[in-house]
Amino acid sequence: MSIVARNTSAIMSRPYLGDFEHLVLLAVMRLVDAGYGLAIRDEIVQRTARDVSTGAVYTTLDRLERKGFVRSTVEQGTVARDNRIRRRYEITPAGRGTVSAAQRDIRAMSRGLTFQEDH
Amino acid sequence: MAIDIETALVRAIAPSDLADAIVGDLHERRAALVQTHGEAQARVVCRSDTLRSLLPLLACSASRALADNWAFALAYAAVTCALCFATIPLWDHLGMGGIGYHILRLAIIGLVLGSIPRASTMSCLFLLLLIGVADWAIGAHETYFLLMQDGTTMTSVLIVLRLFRMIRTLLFGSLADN
Repeated sequence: MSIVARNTSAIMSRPYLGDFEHLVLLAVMRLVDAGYGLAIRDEIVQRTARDVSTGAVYTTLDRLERKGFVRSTVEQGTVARDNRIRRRYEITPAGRGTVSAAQRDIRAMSRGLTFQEDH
Repeated sequence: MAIDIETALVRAIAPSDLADAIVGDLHERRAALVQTHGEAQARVVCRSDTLRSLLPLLACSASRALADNWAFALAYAAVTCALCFATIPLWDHLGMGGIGYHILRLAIIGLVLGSIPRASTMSCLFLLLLIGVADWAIGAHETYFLLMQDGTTMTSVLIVLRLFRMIRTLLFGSLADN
């Protein structure tokens, strides 16, 4: 098999991770055992200053769960939530592997480049 | 009694297994914001969050329906299409083959397909596709016009049904929540 064919095959088999999906997976990883929807949203807003909606976070988590990158468990709600259930998300080994590959790609593409840092 | 529009909108549009968690998050966030920013500001922030959430939630519901129910919707549409074509001689025999009766029949079909949970739009799309193929196969005249007419009728019924469900959720869903 040629190098081009091998690389094409690797690209085709690698799961695609969108920009926002990447951020959500990183937030889930950071929160470890406290990966609740609201906490994930707050983590992204605080660290990236992006104003993301609750719906966007949940639909992305739903997509990631369907891809097998996260799994969720339903927990009983609290009084502050009007006793509504809450979902806790945690990353799966497949999700961890995909994030690692995406981070590797970004490092490889960033090497040697200079960036403007915010102060 | 104040109607909680945000809750009703999320419940009407979000997939059912996500809706409760999202509404819970909105409550929790609003309670926290009331402590720091006051009631009015908290309401504005949560309403804005809800409105910006609607589009992704709508897309999520649609993509789930497409992924989960396409085979079921196709089968349902195929049976309906077969029945439509098989009963053409019967309607003609009963003197109900005119355009008015045709539109009435399609509206009823739209109503029946529209009541299928999470597969109504897809069933209608498949049905239109199958009707188009069948019309082409039997060499019907004005196929595009017929498809446009059938599509408009069924789409209108689906829109009316969706509006009815949204109004019902807004009224009764909110009353149940409060």
